[in-house]
Amino acid sequence: MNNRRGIAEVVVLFFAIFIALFMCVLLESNTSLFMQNRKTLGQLQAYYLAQSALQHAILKLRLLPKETYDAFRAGATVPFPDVDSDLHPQIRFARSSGQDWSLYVPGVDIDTGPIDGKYELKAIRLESSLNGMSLVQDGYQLEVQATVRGTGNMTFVDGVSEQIIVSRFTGDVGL
Amino acid sequence: MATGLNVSRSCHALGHGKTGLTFVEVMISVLILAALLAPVYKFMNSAVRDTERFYVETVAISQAKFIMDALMFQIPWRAIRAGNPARFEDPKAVPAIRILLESLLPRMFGTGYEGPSAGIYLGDGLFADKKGFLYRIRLKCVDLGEVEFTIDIPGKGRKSFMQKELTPKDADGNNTVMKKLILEIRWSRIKGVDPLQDSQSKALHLVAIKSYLDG
Repeated sequence: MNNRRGIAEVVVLFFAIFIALFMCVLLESNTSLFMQNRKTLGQLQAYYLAQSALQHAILKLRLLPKETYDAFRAGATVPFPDVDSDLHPQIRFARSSGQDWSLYVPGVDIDTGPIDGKYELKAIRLESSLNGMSLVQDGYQLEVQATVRGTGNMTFVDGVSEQIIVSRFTGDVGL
Repeated sequence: MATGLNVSRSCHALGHGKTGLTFVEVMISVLILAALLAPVYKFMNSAVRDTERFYVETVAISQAKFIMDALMFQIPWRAIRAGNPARFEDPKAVPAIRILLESLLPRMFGTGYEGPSAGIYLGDGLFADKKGFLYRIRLKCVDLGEVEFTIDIPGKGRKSFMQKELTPKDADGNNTVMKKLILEIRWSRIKGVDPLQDSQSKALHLVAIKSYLDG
């Protein structure tokens, strides 16, 4: 009789451990999914800010091709000091203090928006110049970086590096 | 060996009806089992709900990525016009751009993006996924008119230019070369419910700056 009770205890213990393990696995799986979505969104936002920075820098090359070339010829290392979102009030990315920031709320304030982050041009280098009779082009190497501050003290960083060829007198761009 | 003996004895005893489980004992054990399984059931139920919650969140993120990629890399700068919701209209009325918009916008915004007339579309819509969850999608576009462009030339110092010194006016009569794009996707965790009618709806946002790089 005592032996039979022993077996019952083992069975009950085994059953309880199995259920506990099963619950732990489920809980762990859901927690990691929750974190994964947060990370994906933060990383995605950092990626688009980095692309925004790259477009900002290329735009400057388009608008000021001759001036940029002249700056490098004169020995410049940081000819574009203002490709930095924090330096432009209209571009700055500061999160609203309210939790319910929404485009569906009439008259929503865009000076403070839904995200908190920044982008900047980390480096620009003149890599090559073509001074042909019919084609005058300069090749630049651009490096940008974006940082996004997510919820729960998470920070996401993304960087992009790209080579650009710009016509020195027309500003036409080739990637 | 000892266990085998016990089982044999037990079977033998049961066969004669001397020992075994009474109905009351069986009922008590069922009750104990039910009490044990109740929190497990509750937990599994909430896990299923959580999985659906993560599913809608994942669909929303995926849709947001598709929309932002289209805005940043496919749709021409001039065709994205300021407003909340933003407006899609090519001022040059290039047929290829119109075809591009007609094929992209239903995939971006679902339904409800049709504008007041042909060739004009709104950055606003209602999107339904395969499971029947509904997502409200809205794009706001802001023309950034006062951005300064500075260049530092050694020996000559810093020179700053306003946009109007560098570019002609666009189709809207502005000297704009940068646009701020703000995307919101809002969803309800209840199938078939419009997120705007649900006070518990959730939302995500993505923001980007698109610069004038059209050819």
